[in-house]
Amino acid sequence: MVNVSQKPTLGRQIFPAVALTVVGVGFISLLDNPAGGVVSLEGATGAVVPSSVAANTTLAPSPTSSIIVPTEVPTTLAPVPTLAVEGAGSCDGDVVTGPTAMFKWGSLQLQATFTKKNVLCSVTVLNYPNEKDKSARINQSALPVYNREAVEAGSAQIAVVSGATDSWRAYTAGLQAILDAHPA
Amino acid sequence: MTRPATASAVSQARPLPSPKESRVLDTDVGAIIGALTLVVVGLWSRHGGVAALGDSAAKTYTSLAQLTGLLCSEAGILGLILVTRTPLVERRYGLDRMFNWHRLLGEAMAIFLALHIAFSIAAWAIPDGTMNAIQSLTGKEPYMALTTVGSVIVLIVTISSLKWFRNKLSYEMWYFVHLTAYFGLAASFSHQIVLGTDFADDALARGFWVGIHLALVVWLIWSRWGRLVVAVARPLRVTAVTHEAQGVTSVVLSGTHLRKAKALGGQFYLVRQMVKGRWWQTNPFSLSAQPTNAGLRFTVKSRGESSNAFTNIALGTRVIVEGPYGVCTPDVVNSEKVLLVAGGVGIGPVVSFLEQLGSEHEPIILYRATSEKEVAHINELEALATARNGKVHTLVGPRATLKVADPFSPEVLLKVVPDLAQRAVIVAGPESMVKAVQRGAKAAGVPVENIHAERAWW
Repeated sequence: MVNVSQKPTLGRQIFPAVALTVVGVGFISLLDNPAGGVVSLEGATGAVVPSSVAANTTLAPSPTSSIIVPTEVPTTLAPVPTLAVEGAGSCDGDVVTGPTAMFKWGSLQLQATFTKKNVLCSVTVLNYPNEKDKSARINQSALPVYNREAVEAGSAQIAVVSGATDSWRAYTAGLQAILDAHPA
Repeated sequence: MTRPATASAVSQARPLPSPKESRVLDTDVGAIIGALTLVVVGLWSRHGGVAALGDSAAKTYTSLAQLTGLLCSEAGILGLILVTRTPLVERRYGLDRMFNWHRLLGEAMAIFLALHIAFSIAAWAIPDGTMNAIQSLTGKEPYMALTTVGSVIVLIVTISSLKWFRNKLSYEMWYFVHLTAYFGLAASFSHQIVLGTDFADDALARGFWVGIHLALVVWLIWSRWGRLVVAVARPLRVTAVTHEAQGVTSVVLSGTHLRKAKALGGQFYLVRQMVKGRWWQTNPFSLSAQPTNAGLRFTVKSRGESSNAFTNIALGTRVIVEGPYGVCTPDVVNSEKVLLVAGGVGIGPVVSFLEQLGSEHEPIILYRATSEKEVAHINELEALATARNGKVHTLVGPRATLKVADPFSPEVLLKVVPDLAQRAVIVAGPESMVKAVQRGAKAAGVPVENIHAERAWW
């Protein structure tokens, strides 16, 4: 109803906009922020396995990055890609097991193998969140990419795969812990 | 069928009280739309939407698909709020404007939907190829088959409501197609929650999104359909049908339920004739007399199947009315004098408006009709005007026979109404006449906020 004689006060006109903006901004700031998620690392970085022992226990003759598929996961899982990383040399150096990175969707643990010259040579995912179909699907497509990128970069400075941001966070945190424990 | 109005019933009548005013302001509406947009865009940005834009093509497309999807939903939410016909908005802006905004939001929704589909396919096509992407997005991914059906329905509904198409469809056809929109929107909802990252991975965002939709469903049922149930429980009956002029009939509806009703002159009701084959359909009819507890009078021009049936309605027929709606009531006038302009059957709302004006408004009425035979309520009009220190001017005849090219040019208006600039102008009539009067009055110096128009609802 338009009634010019009862002109609303300025405060009455501005208040709803201010109040709703404050509520809206407050709500947004509470939302999950992929750039600032929490990953907690549990357990110490595993003992560095000496290269002589590693050479005996590493069966793969070529650099391999693999996902270990737990037994309870259906057999329809994506095949694990094998990576050949050029120029990385042979993976006959130390094998380091990382801490378990706990994050929103579960836990992720990595194992890294180095060359004799202490260059990152391959990364193996020991476990990853797969209790939900969606988690399993996302990780099965993203983790091999992270493995490859990590080996190519020789560091934890890798790009995120769309839709797998949380895994990226856990992965880079876990890998960085391994690299910190195993100075080049 | 021509029967005299029951004068005795009208003489003891007590005018209905005014409906409660809405306290909603323009700034409130802006604040709500702004806040919803802020939250939707902020949510997208917070989840990495902006950051992904400069990244790889796949990520950019995914991000744009998410943004357009969210905006599509926002347009849908706002469009459905208008469907509730909430008095908060209706009493402030009027149902006709709400229908108009609903249509605009529907069109915006369809555009966002088309973009959302295009960006989604583009994003999925980069790793998988276009054909695989289409397959995934129309069935393979969870809930996407349902969503595809929903999207197709929403697009069909929007296309069927485009003016060009709408004119080719019968009302029945359009109405039932339009009703399927509820299903279309519901079918598309699940994929928003399951797929993508905005809601699937963020419990708070998901809670907000589900909550806002649930609230909307409750509001729709309560406000839109609940109001219908109340209206059905309070039927009125036809107590008088009077032939007023060629093709123009007035119908009076009465009933005990009017004791609790509230309405003002100038408003309209959605009228549902409880007659075989018509009960599912409503027509907007304007009040043509001050609404009283004795009865509501509507003056209707027979110009379609439905209005034709109403002008021939039998006495005693049950009629269900929803309303009143419309904001062009005597409340819009403060203390200024008034000019009322009626075109054709627009005389109805003008009479009911005039009846509730005091003599301090010295109302001048311009009544435009294309033929002498179509002039209705003229004696009533003159009596009402005289009693309020007012005057009636009629301008009758086809446009070509008029002495002036534009009867509502500022020159002509000022000649007939010299103090026009000091008056509030109320117009009811066909769209083209309403526009001509608005133009002319504005040019003659009437402030825009003092020009009030109401579509002639039959």
